[in-house]
Amino acid sequence: MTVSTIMNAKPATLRADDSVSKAADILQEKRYLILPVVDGEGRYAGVFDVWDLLGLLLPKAATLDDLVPNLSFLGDDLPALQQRMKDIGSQPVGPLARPDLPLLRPDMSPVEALLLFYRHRSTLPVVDEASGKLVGVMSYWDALAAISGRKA
Amino acid sequence: MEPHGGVWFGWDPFWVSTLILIITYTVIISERVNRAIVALLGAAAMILVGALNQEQAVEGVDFNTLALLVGMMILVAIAKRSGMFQYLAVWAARVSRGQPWALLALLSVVTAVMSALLDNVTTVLLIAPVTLVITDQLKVPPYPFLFTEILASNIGGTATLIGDPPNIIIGSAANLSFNDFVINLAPVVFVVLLLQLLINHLIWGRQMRGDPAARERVMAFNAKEAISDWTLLYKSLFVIGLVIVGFIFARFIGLEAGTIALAGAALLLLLDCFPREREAQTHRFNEMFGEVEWVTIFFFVGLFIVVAGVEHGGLLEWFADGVLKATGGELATTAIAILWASAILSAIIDNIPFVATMIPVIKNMAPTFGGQEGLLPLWWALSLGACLGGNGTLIGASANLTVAGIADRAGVPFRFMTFLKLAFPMMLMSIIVSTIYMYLRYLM
Repeated sequence: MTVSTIMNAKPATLRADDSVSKAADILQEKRYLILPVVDGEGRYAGVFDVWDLLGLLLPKAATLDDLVPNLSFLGDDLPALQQRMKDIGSQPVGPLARPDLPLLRPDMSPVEALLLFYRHRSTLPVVDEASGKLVGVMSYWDALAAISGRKA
Repeated sequence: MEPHGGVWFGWDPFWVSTLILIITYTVIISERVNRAIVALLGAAAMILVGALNQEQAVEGVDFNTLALLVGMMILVAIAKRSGMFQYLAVWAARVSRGQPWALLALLSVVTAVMSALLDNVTTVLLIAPVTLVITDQLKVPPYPFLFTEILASNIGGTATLIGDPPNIIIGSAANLSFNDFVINLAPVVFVVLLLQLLINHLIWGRQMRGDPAARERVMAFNAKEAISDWTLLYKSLFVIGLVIVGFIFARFIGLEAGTIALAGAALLLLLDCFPREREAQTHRFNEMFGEVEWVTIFFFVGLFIVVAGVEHGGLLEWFADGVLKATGGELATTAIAILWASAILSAIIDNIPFVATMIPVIKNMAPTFGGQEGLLPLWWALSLGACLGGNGTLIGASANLTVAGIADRAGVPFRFMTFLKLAFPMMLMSIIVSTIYMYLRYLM
């Protein structure tokens, strides 16, 4: 068994010019952790994930290491956050896509995939090394389902 | 070759030690190798070639400076975890009622005061991120706030013995107390800070308008929520207060500032660690000592030995004679020359090696100016020049680079030339004010 037999081969993806609000809609609707961003030929460019979305809603300085210990002094801020959600919605996801997640290969063994899930605590993109194309996405639920014989 | 009886091959110690100093400082300025490594290698070279024996090298190290630095670093490493710096920044935001011009001035004052009482780098490291959050909420550009915080941290640090590393070395070497620094430097620092606030207001403050909804949000900030550990806050304030009182009375109880700072650090470590399990105590202790900037400490150790080498070799006496010839042995000319040379050099290069070298040079001038007492104006000139000069360029002081680093990562670029165009004239202004002050107070 390899990653290619377990992964989701038809994942939801984004194009570089898709907006943050479209990404936010898909993430919330499907409860996905990551959305891979691909170019016109289906080549993998990075991911926009739910943490990126949360980061956009926060003051930038608060997302850098632990420079700001907490934000509780800001008080009840729901209207401000709603406004911010609107403000960030129109920007394209292309420049925000991060290429730094480790990639799964279609021919990888399940145990190697488990190790990467364990270390990085995220759903991971599956990319074909030669062509650079995104061939699927695999989550730790997919891995557990394959091991326990349940349906994912 | 005798190992410690003289310089290799009978070379002239003057030239050998001078050559080692030049090579060491050139490599430090090139920034290709970590400065602590370079300084330690320079120190080792001085001893190996026989320009100094080991006893002379150890005598050259100013342990009071090291103790004061380590002590203050530990105090700050513990105290900062209470959230007190964030508290002050949020408090400034509330008190300014979300008026950007008032916030600009208040954050500068908070930064200056904290930099005077603790150290510059920690102050800006903790104030700058909160400033970014506050300006983000207030929807005003963060650059002016961070820029003025850089200037304020270097200005505030000039006012006290512990505010800036050059003052620590000067105070220790020239036997000047905490009170001496406050009495002699705080008045001019206060004037410089006021002028700085005024200029920043004219350039930025008066043009910035806060959006009303954003201002209302800022006024609703709860500063108390910024404190993450109240117990630790009380313990830290207690010990820092005790240490400052200790500094003030140091002379009368015959203690060096380094002893007081390390004793304070030990007391705060005890208060912080005692309630914990034994293993957790060790862990916490290691964590706090991990925050001591060992690079700075060993940089100082190496530098002290390199400087002791050229002092024994005779370079610094020769240089002091040269300076005195050039200034005609006049106190006023010498003091103003030291002030301006330190300011310009400190804007371009690291001020610590410069100050460490200048200390024995100034000490060598004692006979000309009637003993140690006569040197006082020169010490103040050196301190004002070296500390305030750091404001001239983005690389002039560590606090500048710390803020620039944080700002860059938060998407607020600090460019060398953009900074220089405003900061350099402001630095010159502070040196002009210092010149007038020096002249009126010590040189007339």
